[in-house]
Amino acid sequence: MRIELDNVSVVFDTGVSPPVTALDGISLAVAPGERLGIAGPVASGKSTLLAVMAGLVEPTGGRVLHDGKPATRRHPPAARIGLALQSPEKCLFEKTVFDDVAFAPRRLGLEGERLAERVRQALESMGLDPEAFGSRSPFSLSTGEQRRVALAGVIAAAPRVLLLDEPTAYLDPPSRRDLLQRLLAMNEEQGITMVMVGHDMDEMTAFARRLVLVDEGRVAAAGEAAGLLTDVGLLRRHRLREPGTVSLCRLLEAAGAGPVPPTLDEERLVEMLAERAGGKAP
Amino acid sequence: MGQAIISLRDVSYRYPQASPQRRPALSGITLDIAPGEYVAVAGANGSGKSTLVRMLDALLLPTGGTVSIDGLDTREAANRDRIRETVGMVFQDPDSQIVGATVADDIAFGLENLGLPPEEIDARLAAVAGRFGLTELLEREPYRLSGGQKQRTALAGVVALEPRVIVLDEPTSMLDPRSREQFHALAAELWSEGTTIVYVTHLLEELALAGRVIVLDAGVIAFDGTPRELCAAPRRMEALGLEPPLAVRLARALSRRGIELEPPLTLAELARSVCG
Repeated sequence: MRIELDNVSVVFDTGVSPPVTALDGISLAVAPGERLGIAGPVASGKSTLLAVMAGLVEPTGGRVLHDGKPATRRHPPAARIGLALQSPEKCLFEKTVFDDVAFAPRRLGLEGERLAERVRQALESMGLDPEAFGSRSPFSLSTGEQRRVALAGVIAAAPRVLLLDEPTAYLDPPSRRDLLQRLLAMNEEQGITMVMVGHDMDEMTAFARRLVLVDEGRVAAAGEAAGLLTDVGLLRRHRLREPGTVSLCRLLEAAGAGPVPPTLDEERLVEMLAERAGGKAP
Repeated sequence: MGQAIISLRDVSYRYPQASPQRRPALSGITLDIAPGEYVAVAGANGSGKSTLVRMLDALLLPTGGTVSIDGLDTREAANRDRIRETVGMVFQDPDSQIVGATVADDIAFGLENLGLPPEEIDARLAAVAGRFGLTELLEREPYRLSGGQKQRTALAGVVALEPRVIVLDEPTSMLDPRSREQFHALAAELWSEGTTIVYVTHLLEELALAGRVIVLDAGVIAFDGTPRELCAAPRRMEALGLEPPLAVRLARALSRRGIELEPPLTLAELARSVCG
């Protein structure tokens, strides 16, 4: 499924306090099967952008197209787009993990063995053993487990596009890495389109093929991820920190190593460091 | 350490609703924190970090052992007001903490509860708002703030009460790098003024800011030492659910090639020792 945003603006106006412009003339397209990262400082409009892509928030200006047709809240794309909000585990509500994950597929008409199979697959895709977890209360689980149950609930609707708002926030580093690997696998093996919002550029390095930088509700830069992620000046202008490998290249230059072209490749860095440190060895 | 402001003796905790087969959330925790220390608490999800820090202001009471704050036992109901004046808490999710209809109301809420006179409330409110960059936002509804602004509001509400200990439970997980650095600077400033800081995190850049790191694993203390000592044992870090930072990973890769460097804590240290 293709998602297009054409000059989209969103102004939140409650009438109580001054209107807030969350998005200000954004145009971009998400191609089927791609992995798009959306980065930007806090309050830059990233989360609103995802909600607009999903058809959950209607733009106050411009158009959102799903496969070329206008997306509206009254005709939601239902199962085709899965939206995982920030901290999706806060939306868990059923008595058992099974029922929570089954919520969306049930509404889509699945029942009996087909429903059970769908839930089983969704839990497994998130690394949760359906036997061990299915009958437990979601509220008896750790945060990391709850996060995976919540994401399984989104995946159980069999979406073709997954919109993920900081899916790894609050998780410990091994859980972050594990979750990211699972999402990458779903993209690579099942061709599910993925759009991820985040501000950890090391994670973006692993995730994004293409990257859009959003700031103050506008597209500040868009292009191949590797190009943007090595552009320290650009990232810093938008309150983002460059990936660790790029940071080290700069620090090496500052320490007198001569010109060190920024790289995202840890292996190459090790080679380069070994050459340099090894050269000094007696 | 007779002077400990936080003292835990053989503390265990079992959540009331937990099934009896499950291990306790905490067991056998003995720990002293002296006034003015900056202590980071780390560990994997579910290791007991949040349970531990909720013991420190008597939000949770130990099911075994003793928690004393400035010599006051948290189990004594009569001590609780004084304990909560001593220890301020900032949680991971500011939405769970912010109660006021406006930023000003929210910050004033705790001050009003202390029963301070209105002039004193106004003075403290203005002072913390200035310090935390909230002066322009005082009349905003909290739900309209960004994550960084919300978290500063939550911290301002706590700092206004002038607690001697501030417990920060993963306060920057939802902040962008710049807001995160601002938050670190605020924590460092409070610490340099003598506030004891207990900082729950699994970000290594945050662990490195502390003088002392305590790592919990399955409800027990698995490590208690300096960040440098922790980073010198990358395999142990991984086993404890912490990811060795890039500098440590690269130094390890170099060591596999027979190149031994002084174990670095930061990328800047690594760059210096390679070029030095």
